[in-house]
Amino acid sequence: MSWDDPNARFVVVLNDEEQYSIWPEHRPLPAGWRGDGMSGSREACLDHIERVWTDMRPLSLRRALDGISA
Amino acid sequence: MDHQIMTGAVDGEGSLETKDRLSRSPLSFAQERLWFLQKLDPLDTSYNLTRAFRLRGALDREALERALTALAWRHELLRSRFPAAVDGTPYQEVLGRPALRLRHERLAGGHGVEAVDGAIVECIEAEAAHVFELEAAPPYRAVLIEAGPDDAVLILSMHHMLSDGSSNAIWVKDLLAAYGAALAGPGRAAEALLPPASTQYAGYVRQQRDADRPGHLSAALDRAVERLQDGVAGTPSAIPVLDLPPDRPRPASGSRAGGRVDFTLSAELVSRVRAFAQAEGCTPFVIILAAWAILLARRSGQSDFAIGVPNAGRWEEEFEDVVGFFVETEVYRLRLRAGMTGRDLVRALRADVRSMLDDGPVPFEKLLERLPGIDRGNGRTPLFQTMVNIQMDAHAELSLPGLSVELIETPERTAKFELSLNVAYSAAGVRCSIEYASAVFDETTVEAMGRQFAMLLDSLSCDAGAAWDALPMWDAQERDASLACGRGPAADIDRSQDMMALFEEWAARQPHATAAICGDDSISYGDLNARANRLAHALGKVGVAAESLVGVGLARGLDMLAALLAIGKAGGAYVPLDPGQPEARIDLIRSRAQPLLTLDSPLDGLLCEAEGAAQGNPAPPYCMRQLAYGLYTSGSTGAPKGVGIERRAFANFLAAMKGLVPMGPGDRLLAVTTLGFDIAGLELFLPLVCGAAVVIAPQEAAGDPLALCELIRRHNIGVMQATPATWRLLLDGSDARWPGLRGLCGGEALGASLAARLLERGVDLINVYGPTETTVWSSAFPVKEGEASGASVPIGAPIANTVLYILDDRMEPVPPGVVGELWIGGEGLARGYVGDPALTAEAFRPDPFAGAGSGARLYRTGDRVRRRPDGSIEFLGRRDHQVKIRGYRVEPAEIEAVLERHEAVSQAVVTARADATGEVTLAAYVLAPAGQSVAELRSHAEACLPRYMIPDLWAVLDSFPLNASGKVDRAALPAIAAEAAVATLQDQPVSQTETRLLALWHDVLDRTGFGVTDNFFEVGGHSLRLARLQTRIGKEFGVALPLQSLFRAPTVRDMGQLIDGHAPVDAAADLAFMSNLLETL
Repeated sequence: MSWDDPNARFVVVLNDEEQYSIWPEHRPLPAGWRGDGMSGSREACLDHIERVWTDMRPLSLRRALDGISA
Repeated sequence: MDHQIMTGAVDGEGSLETKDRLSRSPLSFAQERLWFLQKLDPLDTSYNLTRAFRLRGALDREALERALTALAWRHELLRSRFPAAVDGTPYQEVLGRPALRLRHERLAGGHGVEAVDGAIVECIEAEAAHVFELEAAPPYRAVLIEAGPDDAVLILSMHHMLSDGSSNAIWVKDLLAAYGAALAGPGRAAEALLPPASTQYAGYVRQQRDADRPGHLSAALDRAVERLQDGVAGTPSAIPVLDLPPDRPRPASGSRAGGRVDFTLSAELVSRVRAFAQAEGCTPFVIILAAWAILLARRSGQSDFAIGVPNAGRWEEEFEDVVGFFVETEVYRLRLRAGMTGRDLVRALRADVRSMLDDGPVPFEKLLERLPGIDRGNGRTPLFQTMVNIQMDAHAELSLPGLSVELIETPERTAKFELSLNVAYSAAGVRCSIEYASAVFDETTVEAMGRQFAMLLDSLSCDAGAAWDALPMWDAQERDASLACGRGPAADIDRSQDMMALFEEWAARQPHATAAICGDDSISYGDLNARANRLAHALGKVGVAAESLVGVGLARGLDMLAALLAIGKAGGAYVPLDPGQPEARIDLIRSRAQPLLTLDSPLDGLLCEAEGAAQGNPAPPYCMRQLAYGLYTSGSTGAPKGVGIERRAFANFLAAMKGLVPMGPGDRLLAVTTLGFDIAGLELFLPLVCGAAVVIAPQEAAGDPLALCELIRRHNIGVMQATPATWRLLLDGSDARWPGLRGLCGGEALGASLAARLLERGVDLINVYGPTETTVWSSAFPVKEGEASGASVPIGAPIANTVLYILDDRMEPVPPGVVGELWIGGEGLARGYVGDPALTAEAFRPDPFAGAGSGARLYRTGDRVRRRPDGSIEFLGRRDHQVKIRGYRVEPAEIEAVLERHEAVSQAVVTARADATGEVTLAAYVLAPAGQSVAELRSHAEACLPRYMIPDLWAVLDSFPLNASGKVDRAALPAIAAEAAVATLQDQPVSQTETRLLALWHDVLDRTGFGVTDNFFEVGGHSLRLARLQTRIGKEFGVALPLQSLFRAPTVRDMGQLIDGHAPVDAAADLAFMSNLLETL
């Protein structure tokens, strides 16, 4: 099925920098990505990301800046 | 009644009594079509059937000539010519005696096996290129070439109207018998060498024409139409033209030049196909057809098209010994629905095959009349553009007593279709060949298609449960090689390459060197650094630090440059708020970005405050992953979206560009682009990290070609970057040459003609490409002379630390040449859209091709591209810009490129707009001198483009609206009125000629109710009717117009102009010419 198919189902994934994206369900996850447990339609997954990805700075930057201010 | 005059004239064919008088018969439908094609393109030789045999041994030439003549005695068709009746309808006229003469020729040229073989091939090709005059004499020729002692070559050629593939075995058998009889009876007349045939081709025609009577054919025809009328959505729609991406732009009128690529299928593959066919209860043909269809769909990205399949015909046993054109063409409509498996497709085709067998043959020509929406005036073959031809036996082999006979294989020089697959089964194995139009495709492309076809045949047979668009069509090695081809060179990026670090290094090394110039002001590296430092300290005091956004709304100038540097030095990120754009948009961006502060008035206040501040480099701790800038770009939804670029990405970009456009102290770059367009980042900062100087064109100069020219001259500019629109402005506004100027062109597709003009002026040109989301530019293509052959210049190859993948909509790589969407990854990737997680997650996806543990992302560009044979990437348009006109896929960029080739046009923009009814019309906007005739532009376009690509609406403008980034603002182009009232007026005849011509149309089309601007082919006309109209025009007006010119003037208005511009011809002279032709044969 084309990934643009309105019926396509996705999972919500994130990488080590805690950047979020979506990936087709039932396809092996690309290296360096893990699921966060959410799956569903494209819209449902993107809505979920809109809610949980509140700090868009990459994790390494957040850590570095925390180290500076600490 | 078209055929009235001929009925009854064919009685008694085949009996010897008929030999001394002329007999007439109508043509079969298929013959009529070929006859028409020949009239349309009289020099076309693609329907010549030429076969050559090497005859070694003692040959009796006289006996051979008699035997060849005997063939024409037995088979009437071989002594027939095909004139037109008074009403224009062609017919078969059997001559009283055969006209064949065996011509003898001696081989010219050198000795030696190779020289002789080469000369023989030349002779065969010359013979194959002979143009038959179908009306004048039987299109059947024979040549005997002396190649050496007891060594000769026989070349036989016939027009396809006389013969077909399955006729070969028949005349080969008859020739053997006739030659044997001729040897045995030296005195026997040719007509007595073979027994008379019991039936003739004319008998077949009569059957076909009888079947054409109401009732006979119509049921089968109805069912065929029913099978073909529905599109992929399940509702009636015209069959779309198959648009395989060509290697070269398709010529306006179909060229017949062709080539052939041969390959064999392995025995293992053949047995897998057989086993799969058996399991599915169908013939291997169905599997082959399915695999070919999948190949075409995958290469074109099109899921609805038709394929033609010839079958031998000869359903009646009585015709099994008759030489003639019996082959029929079946049409299969392919509907490759999303989610369909390979097996689903095979079963759908199997059902089609079965119903065709049940319904019986339907002449292709009848089908053409019944299926709607077929456009014939586009240089493409009607209904289908590709064929699959299955031959179940090998070539019929000729043998002659006392001779060793060998068929000579000759290279293909013509192609009837853009692409045809031939599959020949024989005891030796399965041989395939793909014939292709060489004006459209390269041999290497077709070779790749052959490999992909074999691979699909295999994967379909082994894994029929997989979706058709997921079946492997190339092997893992090719796939890996293609992915590797998308990866740019690797380079290390660290803190030492940070933009600020490099600038400060130069400021320390050459404090007195000029860093920037604007108008009459200039500033040294030392002063610029000090000024930026003071401001940076001041910004730091008000809280600017890592990840702070600072708006910049300053006018172009040195202050703006110092402010940008200061924001970076303080650790913040700048957000351009271009003062040139509407207030409302600036407010919108500010409300989304929420900058900490905005610098939009002269910096004096801040600098005063900072007067006491240290001039030394501020050194706040920073991280390469913090933001360098946030750039708001127009979103497809209308609201601007902010792209966040990190310092590491910008450092990587500058490092890559330093390699591509090396600069150093003394070099000067002219910056012309507004800060709101991300490419300004290159213009302002690349010089400063190289020790060179940036000359900032003031606001008022940036759009003034003369001012720009003067700046280039005065400052001895060595590098300039601009959009195609700005380069064009510069070219149009001046005759200056800029030898050695290194020019970067990007932001829009670079047309071939603009590239050529820049090269001509001495510019060292690099075409650059990249979306804002991947940091300014992601690929580059240094343009060399002569490389800009297509519609647009390639976008080239990835820059350092960048990957460019061409993927299908399952995110799988597509083979070279196949259209896909461009995805970009690497160090240049933006963090995402500022404050928009969902939009970021949708546009930036996990990279499935990166190494272990990488967690890398790819940005989806929405740009449609393909890889060229030389490895560079060609931009084809936007995924969402594609226009369909009457089922044809149209790329506006292609039309623009054609218009720009006209000498008066300096730029063209073509847009597609749908009217209230949903009908799409193309509108052309051209930049040309006032008073430029639209009619002239239109005829220029008509000379280069198929009819469906000719814009309906035209506007000649003296300037284009540009957006803030210097790109043409398509949305701001004025609407062009369709002038409906005028169109109604135009429908009425306005001259005597048009009135008389309209009456002829009424007669020929047997209907009324159309105007003088209606298209002949859209109001019921077809090829034969056009031929009749030609005859009627000749009688009515006394002019002989070539069919081809009528074909290109399909309205009463256009034809009227042709007639009025045409002198009457001398009918007597014409007649004399024709009789002379006859005499010479």
